[in-house]
Amino acid sequence: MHSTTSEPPAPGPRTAEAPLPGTTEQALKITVLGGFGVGKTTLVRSVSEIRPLDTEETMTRAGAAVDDLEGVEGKRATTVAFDFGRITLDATAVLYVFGAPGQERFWFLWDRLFAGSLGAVVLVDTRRLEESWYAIDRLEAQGTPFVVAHNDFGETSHGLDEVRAALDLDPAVPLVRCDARERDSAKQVLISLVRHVRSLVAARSAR
Amino acid sequence: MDLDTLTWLLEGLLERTPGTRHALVLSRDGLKLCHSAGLRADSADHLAAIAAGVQSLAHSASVEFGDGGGGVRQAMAEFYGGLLFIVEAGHGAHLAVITSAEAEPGLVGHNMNELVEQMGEHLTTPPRAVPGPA
Repeated sequence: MHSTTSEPPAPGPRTAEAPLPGTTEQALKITVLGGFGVGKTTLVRSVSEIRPLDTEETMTRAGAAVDDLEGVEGKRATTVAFDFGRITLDATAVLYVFGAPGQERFWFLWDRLFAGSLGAVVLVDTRRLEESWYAIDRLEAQGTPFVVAHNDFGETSHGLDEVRAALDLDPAVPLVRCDARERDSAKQVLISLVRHVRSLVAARSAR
Repeated sequence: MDLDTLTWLLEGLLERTPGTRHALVLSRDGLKLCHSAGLRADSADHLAAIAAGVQSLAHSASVEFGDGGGGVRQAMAEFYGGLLFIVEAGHGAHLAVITSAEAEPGLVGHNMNELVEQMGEHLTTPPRAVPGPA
């Protein structure tokens, strides 16, 4: 076992100055997926200890017929490449979080984002569930481990059973609730993914 | 300026710049506004999404490593068989050009910026406020 030589950074205002401990040996990558406007950029921003890279651009009039804002009328910007954030787990492990863009015109980017990733988080918003079907289908088809996180923005309106049924989700896939704006809540989502991946690996090696 | 005029300007850029193949004006959130005739609609959609992503990442690079001005003058990619150039074109729009490998980057960039100056004022004008031709 390693002794902990550096504390994980405390939550608070973040800058680019959150140096990686020199003892880092293991880099893990997680991808955050989901449809347009479900809160992926928000989640990466919430959990990252460094100033996150985001590629949000103001939504223009050109998108009025393409980018459906029903349920998220307050949305003003959208990701056009990807989000990137980082969390130091302990003295030796660091987690890199990549958030994908949601709209269909950017799906071609997803393959590159998946490369080398440990697993994925699919964010869903019950106002716009259908936005996340493509992500779930694709992860199932390629066999990438994933969890589904219901981003309810702190308002409990639907039971998780209802959400599971509406998504027709495999019972083996963990489904958790979160508020993507809250750092701790977003962190719990990542933890649930890491646990899920670990249990899959354990089950495989027990066979 | 209507889309026909913009398209005509794009064709003019291709004509006077050796090695250029396609030209496209896109919104910053990745949607095509108009493009040269030789670019198929599907390819135009794809190029619009690509160019918006590249420009956004280039902007992040300028924030991290630039002089604080925050602007992107030009993004460029050189690949086997051609080059991609992107410049800002007025408020909220970009101009993307695809060339063959033989194109002269300096000339392409110069002609693109020249075109942007021509288009600039028109692209920032809200379509509904445009009065009839003077």
